[in-house]
Amino acid sequence: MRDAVLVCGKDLRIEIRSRVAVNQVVPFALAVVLLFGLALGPDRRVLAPASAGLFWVAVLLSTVLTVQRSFAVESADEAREGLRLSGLDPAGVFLGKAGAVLAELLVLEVVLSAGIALLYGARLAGFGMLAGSAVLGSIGLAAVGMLYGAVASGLRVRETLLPLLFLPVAAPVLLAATKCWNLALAGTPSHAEGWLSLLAVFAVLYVTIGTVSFGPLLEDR
Amino acid sequence: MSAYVDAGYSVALATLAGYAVSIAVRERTARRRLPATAAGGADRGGGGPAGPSGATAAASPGGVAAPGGPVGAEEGAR
Amino acid sequence: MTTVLEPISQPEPPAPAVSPPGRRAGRGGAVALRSTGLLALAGVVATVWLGLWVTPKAKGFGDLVRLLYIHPPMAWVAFLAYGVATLASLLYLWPRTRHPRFDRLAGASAETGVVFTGLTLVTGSIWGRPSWGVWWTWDPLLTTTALLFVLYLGYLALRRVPGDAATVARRAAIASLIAFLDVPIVYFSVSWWRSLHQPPTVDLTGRHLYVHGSMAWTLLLGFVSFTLAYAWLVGHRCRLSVLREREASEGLAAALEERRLEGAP
Repeated sequence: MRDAVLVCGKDLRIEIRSRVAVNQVVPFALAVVLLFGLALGPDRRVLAPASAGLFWVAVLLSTVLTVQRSFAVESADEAREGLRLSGLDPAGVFLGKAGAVLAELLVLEVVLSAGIALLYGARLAGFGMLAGSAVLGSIGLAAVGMLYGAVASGLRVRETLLPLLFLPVAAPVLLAATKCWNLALAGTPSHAEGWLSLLAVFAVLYVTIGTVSFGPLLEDR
Repeated sequence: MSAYVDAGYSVALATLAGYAVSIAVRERTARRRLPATAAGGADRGGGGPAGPSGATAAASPGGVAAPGGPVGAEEGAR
Repeated sequence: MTTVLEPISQPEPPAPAVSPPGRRAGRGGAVALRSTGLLALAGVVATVWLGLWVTPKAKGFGDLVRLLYIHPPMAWVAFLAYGVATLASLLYLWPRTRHPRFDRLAGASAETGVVFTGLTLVTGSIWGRPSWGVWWTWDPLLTTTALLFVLYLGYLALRRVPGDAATVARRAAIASLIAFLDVPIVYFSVSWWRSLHQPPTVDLTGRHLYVHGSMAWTLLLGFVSFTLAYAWLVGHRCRLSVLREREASEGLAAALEERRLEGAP
């Protein structure tokens, strides 16, 4: 899928040059983590067990922003028309843009893990499971995010619509990824294998749907 | 304990009835507004629920006038 | 061009393409809808009567079991409505069956569905309060229903977005498909999640309830009546959509006509 690599590269290059994700989304996520800390109190005995869940909530919220950014990139100068007319395979466009979102999410997650280790006193362990579930979970999130981003793009109330559409559907990822992380942090990552496969199923399902339906979604404007 | 049951039944029935009534009312309102628009656009804007009763008779099943309006408009445009 | 058009010059009704599709259903459809409504009303009244007065109290549940006659039927309709909306969306997207009536059906089913979903949550919560002392437990089915509620609201919000009607309809159809596939995933993950935490001390879903005799019949009647009520509501809601669309298009035509009349010297 050369188109996918092209589009992915383009999006990432735009990001590297404009640094919007780095300057805005990562700080946003850190702010969320901080605010959760303020909300739940300074007692580490409350925060540490909750770290995985709070981490993933922050990731979910950041996904919304990242996806919005991904679509905002093309909203100026009729770039969206250009994308459509360029003859790129829409499936490739989907995979490329989702791939770029995925990359940004992964970077964010690394930063956030440091954040929760620091702020909540979470002891990071079971890195294989942490990384594996993070990757699979993020793939699922990026795919669903891209899909709903396309559904909401170009419509007038998309800023409020996208979170409303995306967050409920992303709920299983939140559940499963939090479970994986909780078990990894508790030192029993092998118990999380079932949840990991749930994340894998979700990812496969939505990447497939995205690949198939991005064409019709891009068509009408 | 039966207070909960009563509450549950009341809420359910009241909501369903309310929804059904609201659909029926809106349908009636929309139906009454319709012929007014086809009758030369006279009562168009201020149609509202108190539409002309004569038009209501012509409105529902027969309604030759209704589709005649827009088709005529299209014909005239050519 | 100074010709003043004469709106009602043709004597016969125009081709079906112009007249609303509801007309083709005509008399038969109206009769069916009316009888459905009457049956539904009769059924619901009977269910309520049987449920509240005729059927006996249950062991361990007491009077609370009476909610059994309305809560599961409404939950069933909530999920049925979503299924219908999704199926209609699928048909709308499929090139061979692309017809505005399916978009209308999807919207009507979603609107009715959200009402039933909300009621399912309320009755479920009312069931839980005396049994458990809390207004909400993370029961898998109820939690999935809560999520379904939010999915409905999102879908309805999407349908209301201002913009080109065809585009919005298409996007909404795709959105409903995406969300539909998520519902079973959510159910599995929540029930798994719950099973790991604490085994339910009192089975909220009443699975251990021994339903027999008049209780079973009332329950069945409940399912049937609420399904009929759903059908009636959706039918009328579709009709309302048709009327509103006609109103919009004829309002536009009348406005154009008026403008043209103004322009003629």
